[in-house]
Amino acid sequence: MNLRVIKFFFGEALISLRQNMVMSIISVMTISISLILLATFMMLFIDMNSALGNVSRNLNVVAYLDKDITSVGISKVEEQLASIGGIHSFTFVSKDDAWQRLKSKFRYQEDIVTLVVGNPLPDSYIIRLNKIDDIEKITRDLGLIDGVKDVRFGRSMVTKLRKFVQIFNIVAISVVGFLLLATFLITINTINLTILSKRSEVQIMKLVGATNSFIKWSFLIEGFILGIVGSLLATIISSLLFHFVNVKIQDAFPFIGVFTQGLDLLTLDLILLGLGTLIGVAGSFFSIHNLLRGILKK
Amino acid sequence: MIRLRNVSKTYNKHFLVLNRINLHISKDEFAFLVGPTGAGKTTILKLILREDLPDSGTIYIDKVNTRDFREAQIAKLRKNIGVIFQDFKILNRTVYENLAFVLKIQGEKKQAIKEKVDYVVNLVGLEKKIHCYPYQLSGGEQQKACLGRAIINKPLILLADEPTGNLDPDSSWEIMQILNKINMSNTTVIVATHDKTIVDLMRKRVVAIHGGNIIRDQQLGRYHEPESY
Ligand SMILES: Nc1ncnc2c1ncn2[C@@H]1O[C@H](COP(=O)(O)OP(=O)(O)OP(=O)(O)O)[C@@H](O)[C@H]1O
Ligand SMILES: [Mg+2]
Repeated sequence: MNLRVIKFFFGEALISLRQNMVMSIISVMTISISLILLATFMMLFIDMNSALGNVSRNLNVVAYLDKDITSVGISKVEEQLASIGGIHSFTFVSKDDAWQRLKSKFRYQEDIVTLVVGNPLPDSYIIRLNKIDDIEKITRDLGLIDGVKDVRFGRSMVTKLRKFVQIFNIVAISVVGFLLLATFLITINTINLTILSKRSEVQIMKLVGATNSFIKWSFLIEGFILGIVGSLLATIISSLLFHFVNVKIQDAFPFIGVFTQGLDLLTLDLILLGLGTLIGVAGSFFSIHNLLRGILKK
Repeated sequence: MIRLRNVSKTYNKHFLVLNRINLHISKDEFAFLVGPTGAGKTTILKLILREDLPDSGTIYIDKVNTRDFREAQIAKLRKNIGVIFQDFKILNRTVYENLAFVLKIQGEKKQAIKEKVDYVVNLVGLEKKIHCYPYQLSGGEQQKACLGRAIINKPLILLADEPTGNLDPDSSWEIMQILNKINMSNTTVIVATHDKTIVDLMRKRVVAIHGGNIIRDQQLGRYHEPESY
């Protein structure tokens, strides 16, 4: 296809879009509203997911060291800790610090503390993980380190969190899936209406010698333009929307952290543009295919 | 050029419009199809344009059976046939765009398109209305636009269904002169019409259809049987 033909098809598509201004606007609006809805849900889900990630990072694993460990032993343990994968960070808590902390926790019940003679607590490491999934394996590895006596974490909490993440993911994927399907069907339907209103024009084009593929191309490009414009609109509106929400949330709850941290806006924009264009082109493909088959049958 | 052999056409299963018609129109001929309303004139033109197929019998265009045409060949056939439809069938675009469209789909260059369209628009006398949309044109002007579109391609065959239906006598005569001119430059012309005056003035071949049959086919003919004059 040379440049002149492409220019011609774009010209044809633009003429047709202008002639069906109302339907074109409705198509564009349908595409962009559906995409904005989709983007909002995607954002919510991705954000929830990264929030869950935060929770799992805050789950601590505590490795208690042997009571009589030497400072050389401690540095050896530290070396081995550093070599285990999947660990986000670790902090050393000396037995004295631990004792101080415990005492301050029970400062209104001094008798409990005074009952204990000396410091019964061992040195320990508080370890944070990258991902909750690795927790069993990493605790096993920790237990094997020379000088580590015991490893503990909140097992029931981990199980609950896992279950929750699982269910959440299923719900999120189905909702986004259904939204995608709905967007697709609504768009096909709208474009179908647009094309049906051009039934007689298509018939005339055929009678003066236009081939099916000619007609298909001009409609595909029309769908492409509808899709691009619709998704551009969706991109702009959703970016503004997310920015606005972001600022508001930061104002109200500064501790929540940055909204939309899971996915940067550029990636989202690209996804929206791609989806919108695909939906536009596919929608017009199906519609024009049906229409031409109807005309040929006659 | 065009041959109909035992062609029958029924609408809605039992409404017989054409009953085993045989007709041959040779290259560069000029023929009128006459007959009362509902006789089947438009139907014959539609069959030649391969807008429809006969129920039985065969139609040959340049020795090719229209039944054998594939989609691409139909498109090619239509590029070689100029048509003026009884109901115009004009695109909702300007006169210029309607004429240019036919050339654009054949991939002609912009400059060539402009020259040809300007020439034809002058020929049919629409130069003042070249940028008008169909709703801004009178019936006769739309008809002239259709004529322009039909001849812009220098077609091998020109099918004209009531080309003078909405025109005053002078314009009608102008149109016939244009058709005559097209015919002189090697285009086969078939005109379906009720216009007695025109047919009688032109003295061309006349094919009369009635009740699904060809009841008369004569060279240098008139609208009615000779004895009625
Ligand atoms: N698509 C169709 N479906 C059903 N009947 C049709 C169809 N097209 C034409 N007919 C019928 O076939 C008959 C012939 O129609 P046609 O249009 O060929 O007549 P015509 O000779 O061109 O008449 P006119 O001079 O009024 O244009 C008419 O009675 C018409 O009602
Ligand atoms: Mg007719």
